[in-house]
Amino acid sequence: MIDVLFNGILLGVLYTLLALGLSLAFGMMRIVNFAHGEFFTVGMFAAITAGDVFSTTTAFVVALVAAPFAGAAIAVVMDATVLRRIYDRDELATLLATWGFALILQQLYRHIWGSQPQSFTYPLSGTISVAGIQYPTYRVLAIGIGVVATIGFFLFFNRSSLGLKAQATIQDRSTASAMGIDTQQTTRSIFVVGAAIAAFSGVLFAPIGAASPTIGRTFIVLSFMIVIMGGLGSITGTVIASFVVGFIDSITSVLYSSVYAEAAIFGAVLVIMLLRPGGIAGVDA
Amino acid sequence: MSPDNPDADSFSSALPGPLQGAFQWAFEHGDRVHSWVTRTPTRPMKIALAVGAVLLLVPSVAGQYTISLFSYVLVFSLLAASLDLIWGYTGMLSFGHAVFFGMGGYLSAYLLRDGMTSLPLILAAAFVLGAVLAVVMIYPALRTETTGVYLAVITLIYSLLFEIAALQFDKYSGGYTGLTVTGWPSIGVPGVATLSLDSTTQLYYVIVPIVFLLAVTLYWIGLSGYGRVLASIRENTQRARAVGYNPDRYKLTAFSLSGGVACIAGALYTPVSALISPQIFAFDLSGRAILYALLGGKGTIFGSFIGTALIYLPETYITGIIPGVWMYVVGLMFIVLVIYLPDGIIPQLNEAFRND
Repeated sequence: MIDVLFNGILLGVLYTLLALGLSLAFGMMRIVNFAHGEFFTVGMFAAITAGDVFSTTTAFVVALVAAPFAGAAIAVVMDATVLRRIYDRDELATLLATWGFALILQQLYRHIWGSQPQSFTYPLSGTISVAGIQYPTYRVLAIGIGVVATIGFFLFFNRSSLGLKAQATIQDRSTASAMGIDTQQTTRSIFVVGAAIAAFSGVLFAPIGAASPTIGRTFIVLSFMIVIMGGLGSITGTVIASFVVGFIDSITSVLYSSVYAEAAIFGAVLVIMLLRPGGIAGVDA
Repeated sequence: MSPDNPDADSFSSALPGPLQGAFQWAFEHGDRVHSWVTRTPTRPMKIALAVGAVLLLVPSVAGQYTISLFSYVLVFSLLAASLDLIWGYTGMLSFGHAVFFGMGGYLSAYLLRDGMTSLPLILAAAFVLGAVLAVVMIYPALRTETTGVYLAVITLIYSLLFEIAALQFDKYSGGYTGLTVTGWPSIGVPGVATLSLDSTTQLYYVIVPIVFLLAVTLYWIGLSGYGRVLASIRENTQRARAVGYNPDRYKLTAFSLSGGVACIAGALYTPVSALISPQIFAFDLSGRAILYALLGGKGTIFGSFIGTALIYLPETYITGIIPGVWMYVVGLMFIVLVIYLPDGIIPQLNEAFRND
């Protein structure tokens, strides 16, 4: 039971880091970013590539530092080439354009890293004994890093100048603009931050799952289920939903098989939709 | 009998009882049917008829390969056109139309395998399956006001789930390798007179008129009063509701019709490809259907055919020479179309060939 609990927490933390960027992009720009999973993928591949050069532990640290920059770089290119031209368009237009960008990235990954799934070994071997159950040390470490990163993000979001500007922009764009906030610049910066966090999350996930060029598709679906469950654009809702999804995932995987996890999560999403159309956090949908 | 319709009175009173009511109904609604038909712009219909006739001539000049290529184009066009009904007219984007297509494909694979070869029955069954599936699938999403985004995402999730489920239940789906379809469909009345379509060419001669009729029907639906309501929901859902239409009911029926037609497209696909595998449910096909409709022009129905031909034909050609490049082209096309040509090429063509 302890391992189900720990896996739930681990996935909850990783999914929070993954889905935050997607939720922020929608909250700030009304952009439905179908390429968001690709930031996560580049994080996983960063670990794989670092693993080819360095020893496992060093590679993991290098990837943790480098991946956010890779994710941020892709986000900057995406903003300059695509997003800038569709800021004022409706949500479905942004969805389609970002889907196009996602297809290009997936094919690019396929050219760079090949189409076969690749895995990254645990950077820390061994297990920790918790209440009589052996639990992998790496997973405990990943929970620790993930929690620190999440707290770091919320400190940034609630305390830093950029974070506060972002909150003002989400609340009321025109008033924020009238108060002298460069909403365009703020929006862009937050989009890049969201991409960096997703890539960071991808590195943490690399030892748990296998990286493949199209794995982003699975994770974009997962993050959308989280964001819908939490309420589109709501940060609190995203965090709560991430943990709900993480626990559903870990419980289903133990009871049945991880194959059914997606179905169970989607079932939960449908129930939430029927009962609380605005999501857990109850935003006006 | 309405006193302001004396003609109807005198004529229908001469009819036997049950027919009187029917006649009266037809007379009272005649205006609507009449205006619906006369409102149909003649030019698109003329062009469609001409293209349909040319398509029927293809087998006399082309080989097997070209014929099957054209069959694929027609089947995928029908999928894109069915998507256009809900996206172009109603403003609901489905990212999971491959689900209906795939279910239709598997349905016809099972029926053909089990000896139920009558094509009309297969297509009717496919329509019912798709229509019912569509209602069940999107009902929860209608509860939310931001239907646009939610619906796109929900349908995307269905796409993934159906693919996973199909791979999981490999006993029924054939797993990664899929099911090989043996046996050709037949037309005619089962038990009375049937004609087996046992070559790609014969099948093609049946696919052309079926797809043509369905496309024209979709086009007419768009022009009908019902289609106007769909457009009003797309433009302003609140106002459509205020005027007295129930948007949810219209969205549900439109999605249902669209799912039914997409399922028919899938049922036609399997006999052409002779193979169906779980990959049919994946995002690729759903995304492609969107791209075909987008390139042709949203809300034009016939545009989907142009879009499909313009993408599918070069794709098979280029992929044969340089594999792996086409995905970049598809991605770029999405971006360029959304940014620079959101209404597709039909409006551009109309502008170019305008005869004032």
